[in-house]
Amino acid sequence: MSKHGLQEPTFLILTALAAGPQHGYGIMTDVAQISKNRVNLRAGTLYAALDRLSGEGAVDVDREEIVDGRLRRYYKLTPAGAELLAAEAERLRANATVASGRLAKLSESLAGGAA
Amino acid sequence: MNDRSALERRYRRLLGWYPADHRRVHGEEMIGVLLASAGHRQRRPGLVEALDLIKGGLRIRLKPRHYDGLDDGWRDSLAVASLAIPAMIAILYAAIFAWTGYNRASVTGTVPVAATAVLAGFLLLIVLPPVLALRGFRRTAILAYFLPALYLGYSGAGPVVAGADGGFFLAFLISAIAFALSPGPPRAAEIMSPRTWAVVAGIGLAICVPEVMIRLPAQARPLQVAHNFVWHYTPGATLVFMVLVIAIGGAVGLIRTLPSPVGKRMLALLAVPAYPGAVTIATTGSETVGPLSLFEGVYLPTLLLACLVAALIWQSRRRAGFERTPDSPPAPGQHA
Repeated sequence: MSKHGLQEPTFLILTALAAGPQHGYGIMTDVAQISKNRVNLRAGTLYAALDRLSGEGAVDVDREEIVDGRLRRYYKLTPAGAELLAAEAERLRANATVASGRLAKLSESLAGGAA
Repeated sequence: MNDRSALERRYRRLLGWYPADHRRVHGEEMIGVLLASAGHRQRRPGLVEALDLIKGGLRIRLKPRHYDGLDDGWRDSLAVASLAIPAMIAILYAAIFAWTGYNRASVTGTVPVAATAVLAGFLLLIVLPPVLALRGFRRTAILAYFLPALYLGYSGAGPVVAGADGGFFLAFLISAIAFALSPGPPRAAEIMSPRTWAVVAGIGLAICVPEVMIRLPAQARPLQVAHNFVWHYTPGATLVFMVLVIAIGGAVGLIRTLPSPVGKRMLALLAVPAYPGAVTIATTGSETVGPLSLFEGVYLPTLLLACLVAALIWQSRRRAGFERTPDSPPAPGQHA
C-alpha cells in the first residue's frame, strides 16, 4: 500500500464504495456526484484503479448480474479498504484543520493590520 | 451497421491495449460501462476517452508483477540472470549489427554479406539457449548456453577475462552457470515485468554507443576519412562518463524494477562481466590500463569479484539446503 496519500480518483472510488457495493457505471456516476462534477472518471482510469485496489486487497467483487445481456459486476470495500479510506480521510482532515487554523490567524492579522 | 454496434466494435478494438487476462475478466463489463456512459448517437470513442483506455491498458500491462518474496539460495536471481544477460547482449549485438551494417552500406554502397552472416549466426547463438529453455528443452539448452562462451574463448579475440570481449565471455559463462543452477528462463519470465524488460533493453542499447565508439572506427576509419564521414572518435573523459552513466542508470533501473533481493543479487552477478568490459571501454585510448598494469587493473579485481559472488551464492545455497527439511515443499520455481 502506498506510503503517500491516495490520489483523488482513488479516494473518491473508495468513498463511493463506502456507501455500499456498486457496479462500474454506478461508481463513475457516484464519483461525479460526490465531487460535484469536478472529477469525471473514465472507464480506463476506473478499471486501472480497481485492478490496483483489488490487488492491494482494498476492494473485492461483491456479486455479478446480467442486465440486458451484459455482465454487471458489483464491487465492495473490504475491511482493509475501509481502513485505508479512514486513514486518508483522517490525514485530509488533519491537513484541513491546520490550514483552517492558519487561515483564521491570517484573517485576524489582516483585519488587525487594516484597522 | 447501427451506431451502437459500430461504437462497441471500436471500444473492443481499444480494449486490445489491455492484457488478455484482464480482458477475459473485465472485457464485457467494461464494454457495458463504456456503452452506458456513451452519448445516444455516438458512433466512435472520443479522443480523451480513447487515450484514457490506452493509458489504463498500459498501466495494467506495466504494473510490477507479484513476487512471492523468496530467493532461496539465489535461485530466482540466477534464473533472471539466465534470461536477462543473453537478452541484454542480444539487443546490444543487434544494435551493433544494425549500426555497422548501416555505416558500411552508407560508405561503400553494399552490404557486407560475409560479416552480416557471421554476426547473424552469433546473434542466433545468443538467442537460442533461452528460447530452448522456454520451450522446455532443458538438456539441450544447457549445452547451447555454453556455446557462445566456448566460441569467444576459442576465437581468442583477446585475453579471456580482459577487454570488452573478456566481459562478454564472462557474461555468457555466468548466464550458463546461472541456468545450470536455477529453474532458468521460465521462472525469470514470471519475475521480470515489462519495466524490467525495458531496463534490460535500455542497458543493451546504451552499451552499444561506447562499443561502437571503440570498435567501429578501427574497422572503417580509412573509408570514413575518404568520404568525410562525420564521426569523431572521442576517447577519455567521454567514454568514462558514458560507462558511469550506463552503470549507475542500469543499476538503479534493475533495483527499481526487480523485486528485492533479486535486483541487488542480479547486480552482483552482472558486476563480474561488467567490470572488465567497463574498464576496457573507459580506458581505451588512454594509458591508464596498459599491458603492464593489466593484471592489477582488470584481472585481479575481476577474479576477486567472481570469488566474492561465488562465495555469497555458495553460502546462501548451503543455508537454504540446511533450512529446508526433507518434507518441506520445494522453493518457488524449483522443479521437484
